[in-house]
Formats: sequence, C-alpha cells, structure tokens
Amino acid sequence: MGRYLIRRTLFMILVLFIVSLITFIIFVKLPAADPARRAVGRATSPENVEAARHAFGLDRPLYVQYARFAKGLVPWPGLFLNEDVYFSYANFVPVKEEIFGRLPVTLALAIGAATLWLLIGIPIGIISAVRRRSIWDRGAMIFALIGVSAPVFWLAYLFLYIFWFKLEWAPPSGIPIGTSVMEAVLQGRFILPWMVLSLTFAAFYARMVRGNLIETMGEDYIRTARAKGLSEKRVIYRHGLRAALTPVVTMFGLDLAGLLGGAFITETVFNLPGVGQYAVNAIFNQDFPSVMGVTIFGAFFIALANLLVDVAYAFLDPRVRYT
Amino acid sequence: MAEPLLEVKDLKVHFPTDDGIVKAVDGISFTVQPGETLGVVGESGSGKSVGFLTVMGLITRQQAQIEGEILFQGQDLVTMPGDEMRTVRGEKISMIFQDPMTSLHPYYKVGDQIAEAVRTHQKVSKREAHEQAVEMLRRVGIPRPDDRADQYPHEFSGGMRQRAMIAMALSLNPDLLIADEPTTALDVTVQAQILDLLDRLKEEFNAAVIIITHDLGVVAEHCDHIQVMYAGKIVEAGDRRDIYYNAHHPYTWGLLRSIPRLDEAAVDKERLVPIQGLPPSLIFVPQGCAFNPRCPHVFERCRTEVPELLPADGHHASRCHLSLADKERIFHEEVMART
Amino acid sequence: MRRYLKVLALVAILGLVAAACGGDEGGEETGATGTGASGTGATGAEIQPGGTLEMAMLGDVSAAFDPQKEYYSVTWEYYRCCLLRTLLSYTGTPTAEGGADLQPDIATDLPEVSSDGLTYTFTLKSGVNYGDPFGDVSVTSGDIVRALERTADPDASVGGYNFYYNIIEGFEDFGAGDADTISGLETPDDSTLIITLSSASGYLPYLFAMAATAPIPPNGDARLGAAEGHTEDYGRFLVATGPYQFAGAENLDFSVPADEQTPVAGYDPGRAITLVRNPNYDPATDGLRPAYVDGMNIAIGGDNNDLYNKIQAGELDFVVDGIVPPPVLRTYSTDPTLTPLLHINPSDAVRYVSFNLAMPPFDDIHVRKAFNLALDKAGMRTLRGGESVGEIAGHIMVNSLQDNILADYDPYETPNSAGDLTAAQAEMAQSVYDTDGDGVCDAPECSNILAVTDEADPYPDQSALIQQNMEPLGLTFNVRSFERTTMYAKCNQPSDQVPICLAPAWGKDFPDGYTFADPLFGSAAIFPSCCNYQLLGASPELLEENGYEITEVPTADEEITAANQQTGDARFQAWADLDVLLMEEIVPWAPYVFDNNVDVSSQRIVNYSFDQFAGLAAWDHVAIAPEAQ
Repeated sequence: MGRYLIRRTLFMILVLFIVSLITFIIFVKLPAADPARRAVGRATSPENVEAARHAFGLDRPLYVQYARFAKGLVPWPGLFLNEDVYFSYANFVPVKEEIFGRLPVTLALAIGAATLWLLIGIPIGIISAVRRRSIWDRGAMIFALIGVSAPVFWLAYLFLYIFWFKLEWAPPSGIPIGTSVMEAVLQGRFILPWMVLSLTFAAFYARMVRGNLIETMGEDYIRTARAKGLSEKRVIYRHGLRAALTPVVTMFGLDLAGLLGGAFITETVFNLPGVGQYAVNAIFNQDFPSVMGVTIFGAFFIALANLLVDVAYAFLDPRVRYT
Repeated sequence: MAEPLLEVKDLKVHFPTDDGIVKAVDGISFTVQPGETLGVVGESGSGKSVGFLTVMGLITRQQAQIEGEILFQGQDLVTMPGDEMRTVRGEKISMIFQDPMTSLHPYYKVGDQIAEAVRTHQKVSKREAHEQAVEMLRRVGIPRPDDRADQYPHEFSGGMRQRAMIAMALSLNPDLLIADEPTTALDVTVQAQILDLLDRLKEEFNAAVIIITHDLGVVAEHCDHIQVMYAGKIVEAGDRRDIYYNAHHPYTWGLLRSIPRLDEAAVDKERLVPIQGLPPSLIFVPQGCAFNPRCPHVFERCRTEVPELLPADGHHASRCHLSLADKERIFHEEVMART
Repeated sequence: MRRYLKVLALVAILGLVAAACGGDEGGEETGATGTGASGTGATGAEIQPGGTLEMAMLGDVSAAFDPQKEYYSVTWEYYRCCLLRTLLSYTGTPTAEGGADLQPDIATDLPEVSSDGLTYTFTLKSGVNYGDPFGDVSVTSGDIVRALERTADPDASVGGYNFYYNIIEGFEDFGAGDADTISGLETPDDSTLIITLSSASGYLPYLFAMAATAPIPPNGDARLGAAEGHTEDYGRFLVATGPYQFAGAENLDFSVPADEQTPVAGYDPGRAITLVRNPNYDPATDGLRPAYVDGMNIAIGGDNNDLYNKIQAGELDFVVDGIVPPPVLRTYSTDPTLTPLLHINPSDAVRYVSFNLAMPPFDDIHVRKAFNLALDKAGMRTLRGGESVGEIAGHIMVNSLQDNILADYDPYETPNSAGDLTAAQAEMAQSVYDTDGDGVCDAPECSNILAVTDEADPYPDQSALIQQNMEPLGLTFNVRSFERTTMYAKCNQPSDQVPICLAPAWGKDFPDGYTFADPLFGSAAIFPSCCNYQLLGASPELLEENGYEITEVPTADEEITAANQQTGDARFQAWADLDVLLMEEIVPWAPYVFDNNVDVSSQRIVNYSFDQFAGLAAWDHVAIAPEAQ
C-alpha cells in the first residue's frame, strides 16, 4: 500500500504536469495573437505591447515561462499556486486568494447538490430496478432522460424564471453584497442552484444505479442468496446494492471533485461567486495565470479524488488489493 | 411405500416472451424418496434447471406460467405464499449451483455468508452462527476452517468454493439438496472429490439429493434413479441399471455414446459420438416426437404423433414409438457393442 | 485586445438586441430620453436625493480600477460620475445636450492655449479635497503631474492608453527612464499646471478629462504618493476625489509599506463593488455632478437574461454591461408604461468593412468604390436587428465628432441604402481588373478572395449578404470565420495578407476626431500597433518585409497631423474634410452603420441621463423616486 501510494502520488504530479503543459500550450502558443497584444488596449503603441510582454514574463524563453508555472504545481505550501506567478492579469489578485476565497461558495453548492442528487438518484434507481417495467420504472426513466438531456444552462434559466420571476417561490439569483455563504444558504439562495445542479446528476445516478442493480440482480450470487431463503428485501439491499453501489462510489468521488473545480454553468447563471465562475471569467478575460491556476486546482482535486476513490475501492471490493 | 419427500405432478413452466411462449418445462412428473439420489440428465436447454429452480421457488408465478403441483412433504410449493416458501427454501430444500466462482458473493467473507444462511432460519447468536459455519467448512473438508471462514471467495480455489457452497447448503441440515451441475466448472479430479463428498454428506445428513447434469457419466456411480430430459419433457426414467444397461430412448443412447471414458478416450477417439444436430427451440417444438429431427431411427409415426412416457416395467419408462424389441435390439447392437 | 473586446461587447449589445426590434423608435427615442439636467424625473416628479442604486455587471472592470490601466468605457463611467475628478470633464448628458463638450472640473476653466498651440495652462480650483483617508488634503497641480508620471511608466500603464500623451514634451523620455522629470510639465504653484507639447495637438484638453490624469494624493516622500508600491494594484487602494468613494476607504492605511496595506473593502474583484458618499466631497466645487443617490451596489456576474428579469422585478436598477434581450426590448418598446424606461442613444461607434490597400483587387480604388456602391447597407442593418440598432453610416467618423457637418453626407448613397448595382458596375468597369469593361470583374484576383470575419451572430449572415451583393460585380469570396479576438489579430497582422475584413467596429475613446483618425488611418497604427488594417501610409519597406507585391499605398498622415493642429470649429471642419478625403480619394472602408446604445432602467429610476462620454447611463444624474428610496 505504501509503495502504491507513492507511485500514485508521482503519477498525480505527472498528470498535473501534463494538464498544465497542455493549458500552457493552448493559451500561450496556439492563439493567433500574442497574449501581450490581447492584454493591451485596442489602440496601442509598440512600447505598450512590449511593456505588457515584460509584465507577463512573455519576453523570457518559453521554457522559463513554463518553468515558472510548473513550480506552482508542486503540492507543497509556498510552492503550490505561488503568488509570484499565479497572479491575475485581470484584477491583480493572487489566484490562490481568489480560489480559496471562492471555495466556500463552491463547497456549499457542490455538497448541497451532491446530497440532493444521492437522495434523489439512488432511491429512484433502486425503485426502477426492483419494479422493472412498472409505471414507476417508466416514469423514473423519463425523468432520467429529461434530466440527462436538458442543458444545465437552460434548466437554470427556466427554474429561475418559473420559481423566482413568475411564482416568487424562491429568492433571486446571486448572493447579496455583504451576505456570508452561510447566511445565503439559510436564505434559501442555494435551493434553485442545488436543484438545477443535482437534477442532471440525479438523473444520471438513477440510470446508473438502475443499470447496475439490474445487472447485479442477475448475478449467480443473488440466486444463491435467494436460495438461502433470505427475504427479498435483504437480497436487494444487502447483496444486490452492496455490489451495485460500489461503482457509484467511484463515480461520486470523481463527480464531487469535478464540482469542486467549479460548477461552471450553474455558478455563472445563478451568479454564485464560486471557483467555476472564476474559471469562466478567467477564460473569458484570457487571464492566463488564473486559467492556469484554476485548471491546476481542478485537476489536482480530480487527481486526488481518483487516488482516494481507488483507495476506497480497496476497502469496498475485497478482490481489489494494491501492492 | 412411505410418503415421497417430493412429488412433482405434471409440472409446466412456460415463459411468455415477445417471440412466443417458451415451454421450458412441459409436463413433468416424478417422485423423490427420502434419502434417495436422483440424477436428472439432459443437454442445456432441456428444461432441467428451470424445473428445479421452480421447485426451489426461485422461479415464481410472476415470472412464468406455472401449472401442476410440487408436493414437498405433502405441501404444494406452487401455491405456497412467498413468505412461507422462504422458510422451506434454504432450510428444508437447498441448492448448489454450477459455477462456484460466481455463486458466492464476492464482497462478503465465506464464513459470514454461511452464517447468514444459518441466522436466517435459526435463532442463534452471530457467534454461534459463525461457529456453525466453521464447523460446516470443516465437515466439507476445508483445511484450517477457522482461517478460511474469514477469507473472501476470491481467495478460494474453484473446488474449495464448491465445498463452501455445499457447506452453506447443508448448514441447515436440509431434507433435499439440489445440485445443479455441481462439477461442470471444475477440474476432472476435483469433480470426483466433490461427488464423493456429496455421497458422504448425503449419508451423514440423511438428505435426498438431486444431481442435475448434462453428463450421464457424472451420475453413473452416484445416483439411484436417473431421468433423462429433452425439450422440457422426461423422455426416459429408470433406475441406474435401466439407463446404463438397458436404455430405451435413442436420445439416451446418444448421451451414453458421448460419455468420455478416461481409460479409452485417448486410444480410440472414434467411439465418442456426439449427438447430431442441435436441441430444438422451446418455442417451436417439432411436431410429433420432439427428438425426431435428430433421431437416427426416425420413422413416419415419429413425425406426427407425440409418444407417451410408457413404462416398460415398474421402474423403467421411455417416450419412444419404437417397439420394445427394437429398442432392446438396437441398444445391444449399436450402443452396448460400442461402449 | 481584451479591453477592446469589452468595449465591443457594449457595441455588440445593439447587434443582438436588434434581432427582435426592427422598430422605428431609433432616432426619435434619442430625443425623448434626454431629459438630462432639467431637474425633474421622467415621471415629472421632483427629484429627491437619497436611496441606493442596485446594479449588476456581467463582468468585472478590466484592470481592477487602476486609473492608468483601465481602458474600458464602463470603468470610465465609474470614474467620471463618481470616483475621480479630473481637470476637465463632461456633463453626463447626450451630445445634443452638450455631453460631448469639455467642461472645467478641477480646473477653473478650459486651459489657455498659446498662439502656437504648444503650451496649455490650467488653473486649479481651491478646496477640491480627496476622499478618505486623505480627506483633509487638497488637490494640487503636483498631484496631476504625479498621475502623469505614473501614466508614463509602462509597467503601471499596462493595457492603458498612455500613447496619447506622447505629445507632451519629455513624456516618452521619462517613461523610458531617460529623464528624471517630464520636461513638458511645469507647476509654478499648487494651482497652476503648464503643459508644453512637442507638436501642436488639438486633442490635448480631452486627455485631461481621462482618468489617467486624475490626481494621485501625496504620501510622505513617495514619488508616486498613495500609488507608491502599487504598480499593479493601485485600483484596489484608489483614493477618490468625486462625490463617491469605495466603501471602507476610511480604513485604507497608507502609512505602512505597500505590501502590508489592506485593499479597500468596497471593491471585491470579480464579485462586488460598493460605492458610498465621499464625506469630504464639496459640491460647491463641482458644477457637473448632481450625485442624487446615496450609494451604489454593483454585483458582478450572472446571466444576462436573468439580470434583465431582475430589472423588471425591481430587484435591479441597471445592468451596466448587459445586452437587452429581444423579448425584453419588445416588451419595453410596446408597453406604453415601460417605454419611458427604454433608452436608445447613439453610442459613437461605427461598423465597417475594411480593405487592405496593398492586396489585389482592393489596391484598385474603383473596386473599393464599386464595393461601397453595391453594399446593401440597409440589409446589413436589418440583419443586426433593424432601425433601432443605429443609423446607416454614409461616412467614417460618427457625426458628433464633426458637429454634424457631414450628417447628410454619403458619397455612395443608393436608393433606400440598399445598394445600386448599375452604379457599382459602372465603377467596376473603370477597374484594371475588369479587362473587358463590362462592369464585372474578370481578373483572377477577383475570385475566391480571402475574407476574414467574426464567427458570432449576426456576422455569418452579414457575410452571406455581402457575398450576394458582390457576386454580380464578379467578386467572389473565400470567407473564413474566427473568434473575435483572433479575427482582429488576423486583420491587424500585415504578414497575414488578409485582403478584406468584414466585421470590424470602432468606438471613440474621447469625443474628438483624433480617436477616429490616428489609430485607424495613421501609419503609426500599423502592426505592432493597432488598428490600421488597411495599411494606409505603409512604407515600401514595410510592405516588402511582409511579402506584398504592391509597394505603394495611399497615405493620410499629413492630413491627420494637420487636422490635429486645429482647434475649435476649424477642428470639426478639419475632421470632416479628412473624412471626405478618406471616403472619396482613398476609400479604405465601406462603413455601413453608426451604432446605438440600448438600455433599460427600473421603474423607480427617474431623471435618466445618457453620458455621451462613456456611452452609459450617467449614474450621478439618475435618481430614485422618493417613494422607492
């Protein structure tokens, strides 16, 4: 296990390295225009372009530029997303400060939505699988189809329009100036975002749980369990779900980690100042250090979640052992 | 004769599908006496597994149209409510399956899985159930059963897993053990060990055993009675001697000819003759005798008239239009001579 | 280019809006909105100061409020209305009400100009104090010099517009580190600033209405005063002079080293802006800003449609940088109770097609003229949404910069502005590329011409219309669409040899023709500067270096320089003359529409005024109805 962890950690750093390199290339090498030019005003002078170039370190050799960013990859205090390099072009704030300042919003959004989608998705999946082909199953799968295919952007706008603008059941989007995340949660300002964000996932999880459970219920060991004379409830919940939910745990870990890197659309539409909104703004502003920082931050979470999920798997599935 | 342990009367199990009705079991009747070993032989798709899963209550009237009676110790299992059926299943009738690799739950310890069966039917503490599980593992010949009980199925070899399955099945001292292809997935040497184990345990636990197999060779030394199934029907039934030394049905002959003999197979491969053709669709069963398209002795009547299961004597019956004389002649000339 | 994008985003508002409207309220509405400084609201109610404006911005300002870096009209409105006073400023009204005319602000009057046009003298008012934490400090001429020194520093001005100030003697030398002071700036006393130019430039006064010249307060011995040590982030420590300041400005502490100072609480980058009244502001020194509301809350971020719903629901008063969605525009233009809340004003921007004068077949003026004649400008406008998006453009500079001298001028006027194929073919017949003179270009140069455009709507439809218009002239195009930034980069890159750009637009920086002349047509505005896509005035060497076969192109450098030396009414005439020269003798463009700005305000807003300088609502003029405060 120890060696495995070391290997996986090294692998994680490699992944971050590759992610950062790709991001770097996309933002620095591929654009048709010089990033310095993009940063200066529309009318400008050659001196200004040169000044921007210098300010962003673009006058140094490419490998030096990348190396500066690469140092910020090392998950170590003082190095990880260090302020010397990971400093926003756009609003002159350290990227780390922005990300960590916004993390509570993203956490509130992600955790609330995750709770909701598990509470909705898993029971729906179980009911559909157990009552296969029943009216419940068909209803649930129509829900899943809508949930999976409805664009989040559209859903978000629709929910806001119906539940806030028309019916006035829910508070409007955004967190009022001076309101803490906790207060905003208590004011119900996360209810619509949670609903919107969880719907897609709930639909996806319902389908996954249903599929997994139906598949599991056809396994030989389920027949064995029934042959033992166990009640159907016990067969489903102790024998069926145990196996059916294990892949869900993996999925869940990655989904949650992905959301910590930002629920881009939901945060944008509902104007929740989270990491995702920051990422969108950074891309829109072509604020390279921010884009790089938020990408690495997201990739770091996903890589970490991957590792945790794999370790968790070893506990969930006795057949899996790491050496 | 004492009351039979199990009496199946004209059992039909039909599955409605989009393509038509699958007549997996189409009217079978037989009895099993306490302490008896019955062999049920047939190719896959002959309805043998379905029939016994129905006996176990694992195929229910929600899934299939079930007709006839399954009398177990005088009670009809077909009409028995699910709750009651569960007290029979596992405790009085238990079952082991073909593939021990997949029949144990991969996420639970072997000992716990056995203990779970015990605790389902007996009011005992976890600890007592665990001890019983260890004891059962010991009795099925698993070395260091204490340690083994705390291991997961993937840490067991195939034969060991089948022993564990048997331990689980016998842990409640059932009156009837149904073994569905118990050795098919195992090595030849392990097969023999498992069958011997079944024999021994049958004596020890005084249980009746039904061995379901596609291989007549497997049941040769272990069964008192044998019934051969084809296309959802019993085509021949008799005691062991009847089937091996005086088989009356061309299908049984085919099965006999396809038994591999360890000693001769290597020398004379020609003797191993597989049955021509494929088993019939259970939706569109051939007219007349279901076996007629594959039968080397087919004649006009076979194609039009369904043969009855006619007894030749008190313990031997077959479902074939050939005259008794022809059956005996062909058996001795073509089957015995070559095997 | 990032700032440019945002400026353009505002301009593009109109484009998107347009889709729904097609209405005819365009020009008429403009007049109706300008109730300006009349002292009564749109509803006729008496204006009562008080209340807090609730606003939203889709995106943050472009450089965190750093006055030397902000090259974004939205930020300019924050500065003008609220935060920063400058020597000169504007009234916060539309052009028709003098909104494009310079007014004295910190200065007592407009500058005195020497007869040779090289020396400008400003006199400062006394008693103009800073906001917190320098409430007891008065603005001096040295503070203006400080701002200009910071402007000259290329690192502090990244992304800014300091090149406009190169006309001040010694400005460039100081910026390059070759001089200790800017030699063209003199402060004989605290209330006098004398500026010497290296060449006469009539636009100089406009530069002193830009935030880059807003005074920076002194702080001990620090050369840059309060901005010392804040090369990147002075905006987050901004000391106000206007009627408002950032909330929490009183907590700014400039006595500790810069890296230990805490930024002002009222600006949370990317999230929120909170402005409160500046307690040290003396309205007696300011005749420009009524400053009715007590404060402003601006939340950054959100979805455009949702934000406009919030205006209808009364949650918001304005969306600063939004695009009025077509259904909302429809509602506001048809419902008589809402019509007063819809504001349409010219935004002083032009949309055009630009020709590369060094690329065949556009090196031939007849081809360029024929293009102008064949273009269905009305059709182009319809694709953008109809008449409300703006006026058909008959020339290059927006009319307000020329005092409307060319308001009715269109050398390529066609019936209903729909294009005139006969006239166009007659023009084409004179081209060397039309060898048989039948009015249809038959040279290989005319087919499959590379054309670059914007991939966003409605440009693809516009390119299709252009292709349809030009096909009878024998001009066929190979249209390539790009994301907007890339499109501009391609058009601006001489070595890419793009013959024609279909989707550029340009808005003014300040209300003077110079911002439409030099950056668009001066030879100095060729790459790596911007935005002379036509290569007007390019030297033979430059053309050769970039692989052009044509080595001679027209130039307007002399005319631009000459016009820039004019002042007063002669200056308007000079820009008009330049415009006519460009339109008739050079023909670098086919302009097709002068854009409008479309905005809606909430029910409780009274006394809406459009600030022509920034092209946005003038937040110092708007007031909140007393019952809604």
